[in-house]
Amino acid sequence: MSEGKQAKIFITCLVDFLFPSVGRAMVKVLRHYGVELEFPSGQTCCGQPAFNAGFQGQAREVALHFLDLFEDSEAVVSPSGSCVAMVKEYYPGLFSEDEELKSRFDELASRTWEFSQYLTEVLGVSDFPGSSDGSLTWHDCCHSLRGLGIEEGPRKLLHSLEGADFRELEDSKECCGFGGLFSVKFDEISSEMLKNKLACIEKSGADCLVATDCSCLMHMAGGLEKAGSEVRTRHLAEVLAGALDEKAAGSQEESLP
Amino acid sequence: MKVRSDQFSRLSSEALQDEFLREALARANASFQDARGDAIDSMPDWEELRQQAHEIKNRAIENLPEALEAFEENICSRGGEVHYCEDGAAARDTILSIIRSHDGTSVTKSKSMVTEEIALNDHLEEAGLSVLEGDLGEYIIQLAGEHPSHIIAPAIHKSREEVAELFHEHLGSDPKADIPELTRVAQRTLREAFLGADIGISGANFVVSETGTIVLVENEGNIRMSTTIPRVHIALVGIEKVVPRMEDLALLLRLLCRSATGQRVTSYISFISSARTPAEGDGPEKLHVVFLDAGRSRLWADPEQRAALNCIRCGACLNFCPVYGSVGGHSYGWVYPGPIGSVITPHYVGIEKASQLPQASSLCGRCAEVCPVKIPLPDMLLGLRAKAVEAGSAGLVERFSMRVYSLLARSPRLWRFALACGRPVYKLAARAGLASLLGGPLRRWSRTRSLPLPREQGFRSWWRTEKKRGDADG
Amino acid sequence: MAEKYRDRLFGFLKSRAVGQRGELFTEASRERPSSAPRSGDDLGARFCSELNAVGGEAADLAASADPAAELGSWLQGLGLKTAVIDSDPSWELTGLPMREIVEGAGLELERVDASALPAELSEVDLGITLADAAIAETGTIAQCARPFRPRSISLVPRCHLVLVPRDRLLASLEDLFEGISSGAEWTGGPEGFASYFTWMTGPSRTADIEKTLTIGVHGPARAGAFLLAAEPRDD
Repeated sequence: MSEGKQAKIFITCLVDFLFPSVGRAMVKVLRHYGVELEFPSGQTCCGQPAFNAGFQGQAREVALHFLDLFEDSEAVVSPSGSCVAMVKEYYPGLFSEDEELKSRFDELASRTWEFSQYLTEVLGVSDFPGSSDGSLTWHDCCHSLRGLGIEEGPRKLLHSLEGADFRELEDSKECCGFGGLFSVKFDEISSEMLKNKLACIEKSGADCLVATDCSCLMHMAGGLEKAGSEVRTRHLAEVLAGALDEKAAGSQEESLP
Repeated sequence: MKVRSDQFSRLSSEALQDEFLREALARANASFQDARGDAIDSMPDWEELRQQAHEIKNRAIENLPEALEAFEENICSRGGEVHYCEDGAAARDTILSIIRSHDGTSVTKSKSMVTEEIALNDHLEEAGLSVLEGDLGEYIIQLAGEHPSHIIAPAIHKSREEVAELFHEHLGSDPKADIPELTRVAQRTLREAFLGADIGISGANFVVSETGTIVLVENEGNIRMSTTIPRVHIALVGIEKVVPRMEDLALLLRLLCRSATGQRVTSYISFISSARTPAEGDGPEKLHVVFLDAGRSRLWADPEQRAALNCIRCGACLNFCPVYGSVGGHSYGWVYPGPIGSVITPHYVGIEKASQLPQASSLCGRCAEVCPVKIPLPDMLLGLRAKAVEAGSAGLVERFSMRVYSLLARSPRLWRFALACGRPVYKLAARAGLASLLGGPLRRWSRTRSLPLPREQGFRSWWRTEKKRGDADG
Repeated sequence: MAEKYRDRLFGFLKSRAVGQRGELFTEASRERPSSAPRSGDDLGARFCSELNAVGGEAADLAASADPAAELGSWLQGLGLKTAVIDSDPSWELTGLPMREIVEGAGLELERVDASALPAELSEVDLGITLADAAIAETGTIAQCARPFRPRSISLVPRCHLVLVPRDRLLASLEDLFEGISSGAEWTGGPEGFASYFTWMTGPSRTADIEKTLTIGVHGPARAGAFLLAAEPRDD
């Protein structure tokens, strides 16, 4: 199914700085499917912090660095819907004045994949081996959902885990309130949105909240912990890697707070 | 209307403390969302129709001068008069002089955001005219001396008790009246006003180039009143309201009504092409259309932001926006709230007066998803953020930080070094609860969220170990 | 002042006119959405169910054994005292003795024409008119301003009754606009498209206070619509 598949992994700055277990989990899952991986060590960030703040000049600089590292690859896989959306939706537009560069970025965009999409659409995985215990619920991260159309794929994967007790999160498609710097520039509004999300999470009765993006997970985890909740948060890659291990989805040390 | 958009932070902060407002918004949004959902369930072609509507409005806007000319020619050939006004001041003066030329003294108005834009009521009242809002929601806020907080439901932020108190104060009605009774009270008062008015002022939902027709969409009947009974009808219309053909309305009306209130059509839709003809018994004797520019032509000239002119003012983006849903319309400080407001307000009042608005979004994308004419609102917010930076609105600290960020992001060794140094410092501070020492943003985060803690072993060193192991295993 | 701005505005717009833009008026006629009814469908049933769903009171007199009695019974149920009817010459073609029916239901009836004042009509309980057209898709009544029918008659009385000639019952919104484009008689008069063309779908309503629906605001609180049988008598 995946003979000879190769991919370069872009772990994202958040994973690099704070959540290495997500990177490790993604590597484990991709290797399980025989994908040969390369980790360009020159990687840093996708440029969203600059782009979202309106600093398109700086965003272009960072994009060119990214292009340099990842251009020559069969595929680029990353455990972040928002970073992948940045590459696919926004990089080409940043270079619309330069035909040659734009076409190189278009090409790059066509080979860049969010982790769950790579699994389901490139590797064709629908039944994921292994089991999970405890109950899971899923939050649809905005960029993954609306930017990349990721909705059914992860649900299918989670449902397919043996013993999975999957619960739909009420208002799963509502924004968690992170939005990058929005979470601190407009922290009161962000916290209000988070509060609504936390209420839905509690209501679901699930032990564990799963999603595609560490940024959103970090935001919701921060709120859950502050509120004294027992609900854990896991990146999808961690849940799947844990299922492969056939032990409980992630140990305390390896998970997000 | 006075611009207070630069106070968004303060206004929204206050709004978040207002329990009733939050309940009202939650209730309104849920109601609007459900109604829309039910309505579009009955249209399996919804996505395709959105695309068609997008194309119709694009075509009209791209051909704006021709569209306006055709409309003008057609409506004038039937006795209508068309005026073009550069800004609010010109429009106010033009409307007042039209009223004076017809010896008008009393005005009834229908809900029109564009009349709010130019603060028409105050101007006419100062000139000694009596002006009454005919739409119930607008009437309520007129009595309260406030501005609308929503495009479709202007008084959504007011409770029944507040309205009852207001009517009791101004109309002497029962302070405990229920909603049907309050509606009756308003209806009786306004009926008198309609019958006695000599000038009717409206906006327009659409103006059709092909036939020179003004289209007005409503549920209450007050627009029909204002455009039927008074001697003169004046329509104030933004230049972007053009639609090429009558048949285009079939699609646009379906989308507008469903997106706004979840109705298939509203109770009344009026198509006005001229004043009364000689044989008719009622209807206005004279029809005036006052076109307002007020920043629209400049927006039109910006190819990346022009799509904002496609807006058909349905309010769907407001109803689905989590930011609007938390803070309500008044926080935006001007006429148009929510996502569309965050895009057009900086264009119409100047980015320096409304720089917070494009920032106040998590870019979740719901607005673009529900917009019936597919305006790419988040992309436009991003474009406005870039414009603000280009215009020099970013502070020194932010500009410097971005330079440093870009440098680090392009210099892998520096990046790794910064991470290696930064991680322990951050961890120490976070663990010790000294987040505030690390700066404002982290302090603001920590008010309601715990800070994430970095793990022992970073990814890169793990990868190196893995590789070594892998190489060793051969 | 305003005139000068027109020149400046058009000068500006035309000088910046976008390069590749399509024609303002395209010829291609759009397909109806799949949810819109077609002319072969049971339009009477669709019309009535749509209008009733939004608080209108619609019925198909073709299904009635005694249309006059059915109308009369509805009128009686309103419990009103005064009514006006417009001077549409087509009333004769309906085959219904309107005066008899209305007075038989206990209402005083006056025929009105262009000279009726809105203030006078405001005192009347019920306005009675004939539709120029109707749209099954939405349960909508369409009417032009006419010399024999003041605009206010369907607006200011507390209730409105409209009778719909069956041959004017259209399937979809597109059909109605097609009628306008093709200059069908019912869309206007000798000068073309009517000065004032109005769509009415059910009673007037508002939800402006706390999003709570109230029926009956400035326009009529009750909206009755009866479809006439297919073959109007031509005496």
